[in-house]
Amino acid sequence: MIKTAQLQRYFRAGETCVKAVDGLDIDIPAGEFVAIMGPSGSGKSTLLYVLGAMDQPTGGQISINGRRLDLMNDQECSDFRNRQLGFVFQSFHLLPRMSLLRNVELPMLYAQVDAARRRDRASMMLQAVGLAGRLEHFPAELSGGQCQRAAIARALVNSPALLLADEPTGNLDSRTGLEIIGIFQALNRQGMTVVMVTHDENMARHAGRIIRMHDGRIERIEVVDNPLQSVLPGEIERSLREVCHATC
Amino acid sequence: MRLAEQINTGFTGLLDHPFRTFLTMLGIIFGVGAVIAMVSIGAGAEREALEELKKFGDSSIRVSSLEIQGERLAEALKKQARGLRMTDVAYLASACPFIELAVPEKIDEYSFYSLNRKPMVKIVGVGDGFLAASRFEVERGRFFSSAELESAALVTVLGAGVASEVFAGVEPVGQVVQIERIRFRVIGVMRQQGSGVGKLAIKRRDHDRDVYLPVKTSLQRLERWPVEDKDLYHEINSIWVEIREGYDLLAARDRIAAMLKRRHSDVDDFEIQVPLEILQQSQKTQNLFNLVMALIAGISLLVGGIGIMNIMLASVNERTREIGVRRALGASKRDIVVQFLVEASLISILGGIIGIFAGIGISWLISFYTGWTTAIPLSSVLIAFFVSISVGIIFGSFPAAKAATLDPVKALRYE
Repeated sequence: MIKTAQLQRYFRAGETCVKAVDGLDIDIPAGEFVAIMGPSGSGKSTLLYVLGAMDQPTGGQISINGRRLDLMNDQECSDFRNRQLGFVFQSFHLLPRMSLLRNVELPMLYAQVDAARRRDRASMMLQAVGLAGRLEHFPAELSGGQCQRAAIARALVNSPALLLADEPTGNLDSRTGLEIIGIFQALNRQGMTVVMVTHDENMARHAGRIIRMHDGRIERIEVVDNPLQSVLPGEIERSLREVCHATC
Repeated sequence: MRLAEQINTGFTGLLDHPFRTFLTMLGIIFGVGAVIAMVSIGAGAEREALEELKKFGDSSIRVSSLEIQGERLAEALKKQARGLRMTDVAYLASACPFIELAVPEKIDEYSFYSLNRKPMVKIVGVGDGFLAASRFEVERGRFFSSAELESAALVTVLGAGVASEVFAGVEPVGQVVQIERIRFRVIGVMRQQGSGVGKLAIKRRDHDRDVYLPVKTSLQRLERWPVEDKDLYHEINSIWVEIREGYDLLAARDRIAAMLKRRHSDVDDFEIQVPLEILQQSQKTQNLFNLVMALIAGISLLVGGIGIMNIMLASVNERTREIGVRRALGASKRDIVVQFLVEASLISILGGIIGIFAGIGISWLISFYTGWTTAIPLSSVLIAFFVSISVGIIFGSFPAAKAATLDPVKALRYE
C-alpha cells in the first residue's frame, strides 16, 4: 500500500538545512491502522503531508497503491488526493460559511460528481457518522466532536483507499477523542488503511502499529499486541459498515 | 470542477460579503456608466450633425453677403464694387461647368398683413431651382412656376408657421395677403421645417416664418424708398449653389471664391460656407472629445480594476486556510485560479451590467435636462460589457495566481 525508500524532505531556512524527514523506509500494507508518534519537530506531520501528496519530497521515492507520488505533477497530485486520500485534521478545517452538507459535498465538486448524486452521498455520509439531523447546520453551531465527525464524513465521501489523520483528537476531550478513534477502528475493520499522527500515547495504543520518530528518522517501530478497543454505539457501527460495503 | 459550479461557488462567496462586493463594484459601475453616458452624448451629436447635413445636402455651397459700412463701404464703391447681385448668379451658372444650380435669395423685413393679423415674418425672394437647392418641400398647393418667376408675378408661398398663425382653420391657398401695399395671392404652403439651432454652426433662421416671393417681384415691385447706401450695396443676400456630382466640393468653393472676388474688385463682401466641411470639422472636434472621454473612462475603469485587485488580494489573504483545505480535498492549482478569477469577473460583470443601466439612465437625464440629443449604440454597450469582463480577468489574475501558488501545507496551517 504505502512504500517509501530513503524518503527525504529537507527545508532550507537561510544558511541552515532542516531535515524534517531524513531517509525513511516505511512499508505499510493495505488494511493496516498505523499511528505515527514523536515529539514536536520530529517530522511526523511533514511525513503525513508527504504521504498525502500535499508536499513533494526532496529526495527518495514514495509510492501509494503502486503510484509514484514523487513523480506526479500538481494536477495528478490533486486528483490523487481527491480520489485516493481522505484527510482528517486536528482543527477539523470545515469551511465556516458552508453548511455541513455543502462541506461534505466539496470533494465531490472537484471529482465532477453531479449535483443530485452529491447531495445523496453527502447526506448518506453525514447520516453514517450520526449527524442526520444536522445537514443544514453550520460548523459554528456544532460541538468539536460533531465537527470532527463531519470532517470524517467529508474525508470518506469519495471512497478513498487511505485515511490520513493529523492529531484528530488533539482538540477534543478524551471521551470525544475515543469516539473518533472508534470510528477509525470501525473503518479499519471494514478494510480501510488508516495512518494517524498523534502524541497521545493512549490514542496510539488503539492502532495496530506505532512508528516512533525522532529528528526526522524512525526511532523504532512497535507492534501493538492487543490494541485498545473503543466501542461505538451500535447504530453508528452498523451504518459505517453499510456505507463501506456500499462504496468500498 | 465544472465552470457552472465555480460560478455558483463564486456567487456564494460574493454574497457572504454583500456590502464589500457592492463597494468593490462601484469603481466598475462608475467607469462603465461614464463610458456609456459619454458615448451617448457623442453619438447623439453625430446623429444630429448628420441629420443637419441631410437638410443641407452634401453637395451644397452657400454664398452669403457680408455687410460692410463706413470707410470700407466708401472704398468699395470707389472700386465700383456693387456687392452680391443677380448678375453674379447668372455669371456663376453660365461660367462654371461644375455648378448644377445657382439660386438667389433676397431677405427683407417688409410689413405683412392678412385677415387683420400682422405676424413678424421675413419676406424671402427666391429664384428658379430654390426647392431643389434648399431641399424644402411644399405641403399644400404648389411652388412658383417659371412663368411666375420670370414675370415677377404677385404670388406668394407661406412658411408653415405663418400659414397656421394667420389662417388657423382656413384653407390658405387662394387667399390674399398684403405685403407693404401690394396684394399677393397665396399659391402654396411649405412643409414644417422645425426650428432650433443645429450643432453645425451654420446660420439658419426659422424658415417656418418665411414668406416666399419670386425674387424678381421682390426686386422690381417691393424695393423700399428711400434707402441708405449700405442697404443698396448688396442686391441679394445669398446664393444657394449645388455642385454637380463627381466634382470636388472644396475645389469648387475655391473657384467660386476666386471668381466672385474678381467680380467684386477684391472687396471682401461675401463669405462661402460648405456644410459638409463644417460637418467634417465638427466631427474632428467630436473625435477629440471622444478620445478625451475614452481616456477618462479608461482611467476610471483602471481605478475600478485596481479596486477589484485590492479586494481580491485581501480576500486571498483572508481565505488562505480555505485555500489549503480545498487543496487538501483535491482542488488543483487550476481550480483555485479559476475560483478567484470567476469571483473577480463576477464582480466586474455585475458592475458592468449595473454600469450599463446607470449609463443609460445618466444619458436619459442629460437629454432630459439639457435637451441634447443622445443615442446609445449597441456597440458601446457590447464594448462596455466585454471591457468590464476583461478588467475582472486582468485584475483578478494576479490575486488568483497568488492564491494558486500558495504552499498547500503552509496555507492549511495559516492562522
